[in-house]
Amino acid sequence: MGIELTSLDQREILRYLGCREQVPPEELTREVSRCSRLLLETARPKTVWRLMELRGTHVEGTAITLMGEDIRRHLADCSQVILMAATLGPEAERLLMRSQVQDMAQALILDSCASAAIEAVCDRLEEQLRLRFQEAGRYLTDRFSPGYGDFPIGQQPELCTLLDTQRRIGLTLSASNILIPRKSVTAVLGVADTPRHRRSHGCQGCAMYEHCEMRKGGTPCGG
Amino acid sequence: MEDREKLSPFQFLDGAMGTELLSAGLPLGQRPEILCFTAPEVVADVHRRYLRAGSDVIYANTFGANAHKLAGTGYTVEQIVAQAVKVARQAAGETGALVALDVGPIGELLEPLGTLSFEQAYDLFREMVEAGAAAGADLVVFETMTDLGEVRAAVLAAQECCDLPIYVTMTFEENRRTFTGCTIPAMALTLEGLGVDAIGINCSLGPKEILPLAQELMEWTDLPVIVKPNAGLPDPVTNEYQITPEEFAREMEAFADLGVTILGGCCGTRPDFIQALTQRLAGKTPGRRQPKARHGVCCASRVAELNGVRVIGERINPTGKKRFQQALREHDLNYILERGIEQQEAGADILDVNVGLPGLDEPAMMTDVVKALQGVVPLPLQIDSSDPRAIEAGLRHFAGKAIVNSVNGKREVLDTVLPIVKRYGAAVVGLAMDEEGIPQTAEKRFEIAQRILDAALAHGIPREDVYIDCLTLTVSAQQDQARETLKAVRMVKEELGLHNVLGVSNISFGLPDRLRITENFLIQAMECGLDLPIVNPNQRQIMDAVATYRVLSGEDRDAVAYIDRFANAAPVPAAPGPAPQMEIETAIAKGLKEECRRLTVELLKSMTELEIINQRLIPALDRVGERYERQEIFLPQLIQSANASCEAFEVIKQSILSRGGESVSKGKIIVATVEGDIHDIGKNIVKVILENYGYQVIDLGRDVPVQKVVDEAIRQDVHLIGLSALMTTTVKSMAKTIQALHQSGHPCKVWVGGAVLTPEYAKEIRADFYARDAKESVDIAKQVLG
Repeated sequence: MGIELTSLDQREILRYLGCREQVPPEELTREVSRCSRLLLETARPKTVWRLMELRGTHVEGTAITLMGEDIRRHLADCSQVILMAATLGPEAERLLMRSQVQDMAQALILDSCASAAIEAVCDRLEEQLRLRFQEAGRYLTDRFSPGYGDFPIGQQPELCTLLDTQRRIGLTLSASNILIPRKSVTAVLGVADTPRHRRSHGCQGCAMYEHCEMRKGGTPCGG
Repeated sequence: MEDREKLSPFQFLDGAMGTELLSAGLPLGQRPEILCFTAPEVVADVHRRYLRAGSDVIYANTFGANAHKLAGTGYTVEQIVAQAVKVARQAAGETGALVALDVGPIGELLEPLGTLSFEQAYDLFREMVEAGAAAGADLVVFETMTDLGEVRAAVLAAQECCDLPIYVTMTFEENRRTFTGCTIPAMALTLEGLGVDAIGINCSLGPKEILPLAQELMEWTDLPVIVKPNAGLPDPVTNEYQITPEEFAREMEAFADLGVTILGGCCGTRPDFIQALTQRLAGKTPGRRQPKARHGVCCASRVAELNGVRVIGERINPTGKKRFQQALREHDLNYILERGIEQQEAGADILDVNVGLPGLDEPAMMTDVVKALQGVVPLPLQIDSSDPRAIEAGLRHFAGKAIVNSVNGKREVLDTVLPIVKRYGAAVVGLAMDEEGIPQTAEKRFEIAQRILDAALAHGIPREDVYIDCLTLTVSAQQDQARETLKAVRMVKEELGLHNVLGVSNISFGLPDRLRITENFLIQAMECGLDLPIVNPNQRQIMDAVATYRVLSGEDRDAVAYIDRFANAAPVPAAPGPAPQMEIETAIAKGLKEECRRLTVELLKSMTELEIINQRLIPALDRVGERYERQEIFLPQLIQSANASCEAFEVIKQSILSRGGESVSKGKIIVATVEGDIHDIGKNIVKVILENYGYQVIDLGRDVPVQKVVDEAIRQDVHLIGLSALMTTTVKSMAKTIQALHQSGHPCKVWVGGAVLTPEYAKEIRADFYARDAKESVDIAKQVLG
């Protein structure tokens, strides 16, 4: 499914860069909006999803059982599950690589823009799915990704194989199960007959987990 | 290939295997290849149905049978491939149909986007091809490929371990690129160069959408073309394919009219599709193909088509450049990459890459630079070396069609280098000189050019891939030679019809205001037929001359590029008035690079290099660091200040080099992102900041094997090592690296950083220090190295 992004949340990007309540310096705001434009021009987001029947945490018709207590709780009372994957594509990845050679300050801002962008892509897809299922009286849980809580990152290969991500959206895994291109996400959403309680993912579920200054500083944003 | 081909001008392939296996009940997410053992009859039945439908070639069920994808299935590559080929062979029986070893992508992306190295990919493919050849496959098919680098590894592996014919099909989106950005001309130029037997397009789109793509492909190749489309586009909601076998066959007929002779189906096409196709084309004659009309060189995402002037950037070359030489000695790839990016932004179409320096392992350096450049500069490369091993190393690792610079008329050079050029499908520059030196007349140079062309043709290198360099001599030393060079260029162009390369700037050596002479000579040479000038694209005047010439020659239709370049150009800034007085501390705080550079030059008049570093730069950076800690400024600004002081350090380095002094360094530090991890932005930030405190940072990159960290620490005698890991799973390799460092007995301190680390955990894995951020890394460096 193609998703077109036309803008990025500037406040969120500034927050990723460590600027929360403070008034951001003007040149930083300018850079953030310039980098946002550059990123949006470059990225070619792609998504793929698939609805499967669920028995407990076993995905019916496949050899996949989703592992861990957290995912079991997350999917409680769900009879179906949506498996999804999204990527910003290799062009954005190359832009990030190139900017790291040229100018690390810009690279850091672009990286934050890309993190905001892949989150936005996932949000948009989730929103579309949510509306579509709601019409049929079905309700979705939040997204839950391998690596959140005790849902092992080792299940990435099964998700990617099932979704045929390499052929469908050009998304692959490295030998240590890192998604490549890196600004990509895989996730599962439970589908149930009653509205689901939405909750925040906490730091581990955040796209900025790797280099969040707030978290490392011991003052997470709580978003 | 065999009798059946003689009966029909077409070779019919089969349709989807996966679609059939799924409908026979293969569970989702399971590797279909193991069915050759668990349900051989099901697989054989699919083959037989395609054979009955008229397939001349059936693909064995080996698409994903590489060691990477089979891991954990309990089967080896050899077992699966042997069994799958056997099942297909038995199904083919007496039909005379051919059995193809079917090879899909490995499933992991190659460097630089991914972590799989060219060599690893090569080995994975070789394992499959060796097994396929041993099992008696008739040909090798690489299909559904999206990465040109991966395809090259596959083709080279196949060519180097068996004699079977090779077909390659890649998968394109409607924007005419693969997912990784490879273009259709790039595929054609690269694979035809490598000498595969047929190329084409499969999967992703239906026949209708592929038709214009196939038309483009045929402009760029004379090879037989393969088309194996899906059964139309899937319904966006149900994911089901929608066209009927008859519609498919009708749409496929258009390819036959184009002259495509190898036809089949991919996802969603079933035996009845292939049957409809073979019936519809029975008795039909394929359309006549025109010889390919276009040629050039390329990297995966960009082609430099040789139908006008294409600028070759000359700046990646250590000759006469002390700073560049230092970068090579220190293996400072970043400096070299910046030279590449800079030239691309200035308008270079091709980059010359010369990394030869006495005492340096040139093949190894060429490999590293070529690999690294491809990650950040999407341009075709010209591999510039006189060492055949360095040439081969560069060509082997370049994912595209490169130029080799150079051969000359010497028999020995031609005999050594031309086979390498042919092997990798490159183009080649021939210098118009030989054992006797550089001839003084145009006619003699022309003779040598002719000889080089003949030698290249004899080695199977096509005419369009031979470029001649008629050699620029310095006009201040040999004034008459400028005319001879121009005359020779014209002769090569008009009488041999070859492309001309010329290193232009040498013309003006030793004269004042060199650019005037260089520009004028360039313009005259282009008029004589120079279409591949080797120049410094950073000189605006030179690129202006090229842009202007392109209008006058008619290449720049309607002067679109010219107008874009000049009509909206920023006005030339007024002559700078007296610069405002600013202290270097302020320039650093504000991140003003140019100011920093200028002020450092000023300071050098009254202070030594070390005094500037210790008394001015470092205290200034410290103050920026403090403001960062107080959250008055943010990380991008901290880095910007570091970048600004980096300019000051560059001036200082140059100053020291120019008086032949030892490079200034407060000590050497290794930084690396550990094995298995590829998150390197944090490590790169630390690197920038440390460098700006005067440390020499040896960056081993990302996904660095444990042993490499140990080896480099010992080899380069480094006693402070920074390791970065961003994932809980890769912190394990961090622990291993620290352990290996301790076990080696090499005296060193290790500091660690990364999102998942804590001071406690750092202690547990026996790191000496934990750094929360780049600023703390500097504190550690100061403490250890001073």
